[in-house]
Amino acid sequence: MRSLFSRRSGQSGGHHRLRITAAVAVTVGGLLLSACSSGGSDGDGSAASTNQVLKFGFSAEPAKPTTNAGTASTVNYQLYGLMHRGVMMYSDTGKVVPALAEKADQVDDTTYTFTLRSGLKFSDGSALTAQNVKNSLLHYADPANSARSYPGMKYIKSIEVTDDQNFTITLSSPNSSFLEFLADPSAFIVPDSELKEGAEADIGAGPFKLTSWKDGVGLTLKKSNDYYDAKDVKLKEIDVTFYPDATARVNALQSGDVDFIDYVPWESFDQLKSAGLTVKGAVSSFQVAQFNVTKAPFNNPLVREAVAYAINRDNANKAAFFGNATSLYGIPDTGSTGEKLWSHDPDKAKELLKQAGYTNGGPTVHLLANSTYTFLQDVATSLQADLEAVGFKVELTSPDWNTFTEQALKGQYDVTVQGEIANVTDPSAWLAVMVQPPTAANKTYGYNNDALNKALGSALSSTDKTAKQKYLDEAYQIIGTDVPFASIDRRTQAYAYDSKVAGFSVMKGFTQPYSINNLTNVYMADN
Amino acid sequence: MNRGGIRRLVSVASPVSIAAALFIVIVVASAIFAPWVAPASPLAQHIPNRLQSPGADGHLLGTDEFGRDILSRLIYGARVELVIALGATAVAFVLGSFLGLIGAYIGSWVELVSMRLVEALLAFPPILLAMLVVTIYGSGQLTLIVVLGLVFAPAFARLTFAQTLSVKSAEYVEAARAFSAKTPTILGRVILPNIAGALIAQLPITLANTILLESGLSYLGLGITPPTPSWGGMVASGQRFMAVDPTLLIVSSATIVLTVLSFGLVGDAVRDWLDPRERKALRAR
Amino acid sequence: MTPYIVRRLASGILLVWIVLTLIFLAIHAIPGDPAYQLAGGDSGVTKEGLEHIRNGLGLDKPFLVQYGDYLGGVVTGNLGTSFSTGQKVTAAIGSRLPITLELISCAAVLSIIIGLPFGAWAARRRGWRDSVLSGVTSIALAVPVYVFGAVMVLLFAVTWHVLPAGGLPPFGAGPGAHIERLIMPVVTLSLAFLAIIARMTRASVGETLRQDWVRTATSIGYRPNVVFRDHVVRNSLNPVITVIGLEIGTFLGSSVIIERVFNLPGLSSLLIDGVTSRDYPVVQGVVIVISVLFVVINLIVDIVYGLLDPRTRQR
Repeated sequence: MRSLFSRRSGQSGGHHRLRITAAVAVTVGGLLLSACSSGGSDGDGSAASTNQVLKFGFSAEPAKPTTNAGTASTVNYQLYGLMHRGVMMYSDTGKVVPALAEKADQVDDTTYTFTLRSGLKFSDGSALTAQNVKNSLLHYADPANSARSYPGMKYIKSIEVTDDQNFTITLSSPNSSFLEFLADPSAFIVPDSELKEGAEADIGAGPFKLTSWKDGVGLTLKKSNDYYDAKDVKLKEIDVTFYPDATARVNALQSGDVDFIDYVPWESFDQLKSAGLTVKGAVSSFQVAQFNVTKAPFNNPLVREAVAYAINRDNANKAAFFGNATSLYGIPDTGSTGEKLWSHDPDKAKELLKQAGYTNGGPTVHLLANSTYTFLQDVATSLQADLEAVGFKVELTSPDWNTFTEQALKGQYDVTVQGEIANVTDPSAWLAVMVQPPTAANKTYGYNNDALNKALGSALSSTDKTAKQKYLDEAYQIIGTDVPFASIDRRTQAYAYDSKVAGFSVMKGFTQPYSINNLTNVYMADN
Repeated sequence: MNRGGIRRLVSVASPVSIAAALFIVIVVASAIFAPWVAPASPLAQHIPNRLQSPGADGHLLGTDEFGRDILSRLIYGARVELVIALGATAVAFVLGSFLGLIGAYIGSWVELVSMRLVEALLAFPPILLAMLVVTIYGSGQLTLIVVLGLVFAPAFARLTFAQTLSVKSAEYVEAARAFSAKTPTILGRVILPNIAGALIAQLPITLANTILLESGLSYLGLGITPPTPSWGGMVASGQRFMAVDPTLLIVSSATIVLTVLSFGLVGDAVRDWLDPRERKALRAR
Repeated sequence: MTPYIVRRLASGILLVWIVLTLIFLAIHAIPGDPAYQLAGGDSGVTKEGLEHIRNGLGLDKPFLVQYGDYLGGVVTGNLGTSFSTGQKVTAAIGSRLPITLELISCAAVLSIIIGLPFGAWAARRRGWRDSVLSGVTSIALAVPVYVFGAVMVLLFAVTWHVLPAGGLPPFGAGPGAHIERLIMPVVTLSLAFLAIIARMTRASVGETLRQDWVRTATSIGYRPNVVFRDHVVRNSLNPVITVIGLEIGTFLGSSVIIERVFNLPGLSSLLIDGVTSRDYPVVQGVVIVISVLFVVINLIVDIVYGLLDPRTRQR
């Protein structure tokens, strides 16, 4: 289960953007509040305009939609959310709800039955049946296709089609997160013609259909009247322009070239708000320090623990995110037992280093950062000062994203900074991916702890809530002292828009990247 | 340099170019004596004190996004910048004039190869060349010196090529050949000194251009690795939040502009001084 | 003149081949496996998927075979397919080249229109005019282009709302909007070029003015203005034109940054994205196109040179 856990650092799987601009202060509390009040409209009461066209500035050009291998970034997920639909989806409050399905039932640990809505159609008017669902999902489950949704779909053992509307999915092993995987925007259902290698997946069952794409410039989406919920979609058209440069994107919004942008750079939150624009976001991805535990000094848990206590998270927040992040002293979204594992305590860090045998100043370490994502580089720069404050000597290198990924994958570092986001909500599922083999660029290199694996495994298979929590607490405790990674902070990912846009809401936590599904509630107000 | 030369240099120099030369002296001196001149460590972060305006809290030019003293970073940045600029210019000068000299003097296939190489370098957009090399070898000072040297070598090569062609058949070269001097001797002892003027005039311009290109690379995230201060890196990060706090952008760009400007003005003065016709005009004055 | 052009073309092809080989070596030496991100990045790389992709991209073949295949493709006009978008490289370049060409040619024209007269004006009477030229061009050459561009956007688009911040709609969709959006990028790009042309013109015209025939022409009664306009300037153009040809590489380099600041989907940003994502065919394709452009522009420059000065045709 390699990948419940993907890095969507920044807005992307990483390669598109040459540089991302960082960071300014807004109280995170306020943002959280607005994030929580999601669902439905802003309720400003303004009348709908007759011109229901949204001009949207994307933070990058998505890769062409495909059911096969292809780089995917958050902008791709945005595009999928707008033009495609899966069996399940995330609702505007971030809950997993049936989408193309009308009804989803879990029969036993490995069996699910589904009933599709009646009269489903793709955006070209052709019928969408259970057979299309089967063909699409089995295509994703085949490792040779390298589909984006493979990590979840690989659990599918078989799909049995009863009739045009009903089908049953059997899993090869139990997976409590399977419905979440089906809600992932990349597990969308397409006509069979789009499952061929090299075919573009430009016909889907989503609320909008792709009508034009100008390379490097932008694309146009028009409302699809074949969408099952078309009557509730208010926008007639979304004109997307690609703005890979963050400053250019913010400028475009401020000068009125576009109405709506994603991935607001943190330094611009205040500036946009004072210019009368709305900035709405939620804390989502989190930054961690990860280690190479196959060699000294980080093969020693005491040295890793020293790092966890050395990090001044508030400083990292200010420097990299202009305060638009929350400090993280443990594992996100895990309640009091998991979220408070460490603190900022330089004296304790020094003490731990002494215990580890470094009585005469700390060890010299190689801190690997990357130059593509400025905010990760800024977090690393702040981390460097924190480590040096407790006695480490730090050498920092900062290659571009692809080189960085290759070096991280090969463990060519002592400590590095990564941004992480989980695709599923169950911590026993995503933590297991984060701390267990196989190797990936966004995991601590060479880490494998039997006790921790056992605790997480028991938690995953526990159906009883109290038992599950007991195993989880055990796992958190191990993480606290063995420190497979040291958490730093959780950044706020935000959208910004002008006063013409009404009805938008943001999902919170790890589902924040799916917020663009909520454009189905948005309308252009007359003002 | 004889006294007449110096007098001529002073007579060519306008007050502006003298001011420019002075500014360069200040930059070079502060680079050399950085530890004694800088008020603080360029790396010492104090994040609660970030983005202070000039003058606040003992920071003459304010602080940057990590609360580091901007003035100190500029002073230490001068070290980085000048090492890169001087190193790259030296590489460009040596490589370029070598290719130009042998290409023009030996001719035939040597000319073909050396001049094609030069053209190949010219046909590569400088930013791309820099990007490729930096991505392959990482963005150290040495990498930047080599890559910027490669980028600016063609200018020296073409200049040397043209100048060498024009003096190749001059009497004193013929004479050296008649005394069966070896080719390296002729190139190094006879031709090079005679064409040095034009090459020297190109030096300050190249210094200025290396500083500008380093700053462009920083904008693309390919400059000196932080937290080491470099002017280009400071401009690049200042540009990111210029709408929030323009101090860093203004101060660091001004430093680059003044330095580049000074090199350019000094270069102009040197060129006028070395230009024999200009000399004649001055004498006639 | 024909044998001369043939010779130049042959040497141009040689040049393109050298550049192509250099770029092929360089790009394959860059760390970072293009297949890794395509196979799903960290979230979903499978061994089968990675192999499948490497096969599909031809990355499993020996290096020399890849090189041979690529050269064969280039000769037949096939620049391959982009790794990341699956689009034909020729199509990708085709859709972006016009924007870069338009940007560069507009900037070149603007630079020449302003730079030539400015340089000639300064050369005609040295003294304060010279200082003005020296000051203005020095500053133009000393300001990093992206700072200049960013400040322009901040002032004209964000603060005063008189010009759009970026982008470039097609000319057909409305010439007004198109031209409006070209203003800032073209001005920014031409700044440095204008300075170079002005300085070159000043130097060149200054040199011509000192020649004996100018004095002779004036002394036998030709009006100085006519001599200057019709003869001096025209005779001073050659070095200026050469510089225009040689600086084209630098020009393309600056356009990388301009395209980023003003969000223009041109050739340069395609190139940068290609390097960042290790999209070998795209990078190679763009570099070939740029070096061909370089060769062609310099050939044109030489021909213009010949037309202006018949003596150079002899070689």
